[in-house]
Amino acid sequence: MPLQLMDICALMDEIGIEREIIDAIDPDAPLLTQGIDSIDFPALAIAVEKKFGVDISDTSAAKLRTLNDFVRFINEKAVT
Amino acid sequence: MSLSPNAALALLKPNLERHPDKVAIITGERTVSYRRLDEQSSRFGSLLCTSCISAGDRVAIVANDSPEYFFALLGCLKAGAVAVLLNPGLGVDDYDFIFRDAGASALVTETTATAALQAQSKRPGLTLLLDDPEFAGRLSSAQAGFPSHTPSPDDIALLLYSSGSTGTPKGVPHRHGDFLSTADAFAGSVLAMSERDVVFSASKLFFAYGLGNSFSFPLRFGATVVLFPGKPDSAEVLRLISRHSVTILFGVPVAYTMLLKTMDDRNALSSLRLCVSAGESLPAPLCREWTETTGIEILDGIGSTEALHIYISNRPGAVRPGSAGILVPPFEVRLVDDEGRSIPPGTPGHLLLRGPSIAPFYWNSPEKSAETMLQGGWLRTGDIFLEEDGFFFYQGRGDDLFKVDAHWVSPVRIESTLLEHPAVMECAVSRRKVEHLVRPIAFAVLNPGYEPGPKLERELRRFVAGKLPAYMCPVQVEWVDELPKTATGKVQRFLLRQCG
Repeated sequence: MPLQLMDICALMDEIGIEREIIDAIDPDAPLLTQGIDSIDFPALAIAVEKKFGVDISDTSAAKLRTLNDFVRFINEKAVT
Repeated sequence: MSLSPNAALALLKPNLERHPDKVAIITGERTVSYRRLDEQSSRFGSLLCTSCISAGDRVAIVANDSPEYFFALLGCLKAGAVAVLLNPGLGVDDYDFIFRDAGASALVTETTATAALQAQSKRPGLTLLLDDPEFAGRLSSAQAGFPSHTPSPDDIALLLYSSGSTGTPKGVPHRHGDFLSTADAFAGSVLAMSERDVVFSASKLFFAYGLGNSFSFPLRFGATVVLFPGKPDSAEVLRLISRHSVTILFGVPVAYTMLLKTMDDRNALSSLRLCVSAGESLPAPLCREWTETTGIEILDGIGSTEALHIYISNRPGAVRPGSAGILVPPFEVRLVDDEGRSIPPGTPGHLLLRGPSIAPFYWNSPEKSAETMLQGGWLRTGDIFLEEDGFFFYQGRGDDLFKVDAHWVSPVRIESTLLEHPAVMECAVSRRKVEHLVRPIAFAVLNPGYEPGPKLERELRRFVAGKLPAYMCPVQVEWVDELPKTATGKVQRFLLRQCG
């Protein structure tokens, strides 16, 4: 089954991002403009790697901006 | 006795003759002219003198970027005092150590700098609060006419503090002439900065990099600097560039990454003619992606606190992504092997540096000075580089230090903090790359009774974030049964590295 937005939200909760921030996130707007900072962002990227077995280390900076970017990225990787 | 120009006078005088009413500083709705900058800094110098601060005395400045910061710094230089520029985000213990190490006679700070004020409360000495109305009154009543100190070439004007490999800050002194030589070498010869430029630096004044970008460079070339107190987010940086028609943007790699991740309107950058990156190596893909997206080059370069600014840099129109660029004259470099012998091009070697702005010694550290400041004026940078066709490529460090968001990070510092948590029996801190940028990660051996898992990882990250600056917080904690060690019990951190 393809990954859903709520799976990423659950992961954000797991790494300690505040619930209020997660609940208010617009999935198509940049995470960095919605209370996620430059420390939370790489922690989320690594948590995604660990949980879903994808490699983000050399991903381009513009590729993963929004919550939906993460969902698309992981689902694409799962297919390939 | 030979004399040297006072840096404050050398930076201000040409502007006072050419365009005294030109805007030197923009911050928020406020502008400050070169004439006002000169007057207020003289008043500040006068205030120091009447408060019994003499030439050579150390004055710690712990403040956000602001016009008052300029008044204080220029005032110190005019009075011949040594300005000790410190990160406003340090903890009480760091300030306590640095104030004692520097022998600071005065603290210039802001009412919000509680840790610095707490450390200062244990010491005798003058405290000036830049944002206090009482200070504004004292400054306006101080004399504007003031005989500036004439330094000798070896007089120390500035003391910056850099992280050491053990995590203990070390003082890096600079002379009056160092402000001028770095401005001429980099801002003049590489950037061709002029009075038509409006500059903004995401790096703050207490960094050597930010100090050149926002202070000595624009003053040296009669440009205008935009200041922002605190840490601007990407949206704020874009707003500042657009609103003030910034022409040169100075940042560190993570700042460019954050801009790419948030920028929707590329027109916001239309005033820029150049971007500069330093502080840590700019990944080649990020360099290419930025230029493809914005149409503007990033000039990556390498500098250091010891050199005061950039000494190897890419040039406009000749950027080689992934390279730190070519030598910035009049600096000279040598690449040597472990025995100090020169090595051929294409081979990685230890970078030695010589030039006009090299710190003559470390403050109160004769042994460290002897290891680093070598005979013949050469500085051992601690960096390993490879040179090809005149371009230099960063290969890593000769020690365990690494840079995150342009800050030196000592694994020892993070490890000792993690060890304060009752769950952690042993730990080691290393690094890995996320989206091409280096981040700290931790490996922990737990005490009996503690369960490894996301809950404890979150707790440990929060624990570190509560005690150290955010950039030192590990982005990942790995649970291990034991750490790799040498026969003598020293942790082999290089075996834990997940990047170069």
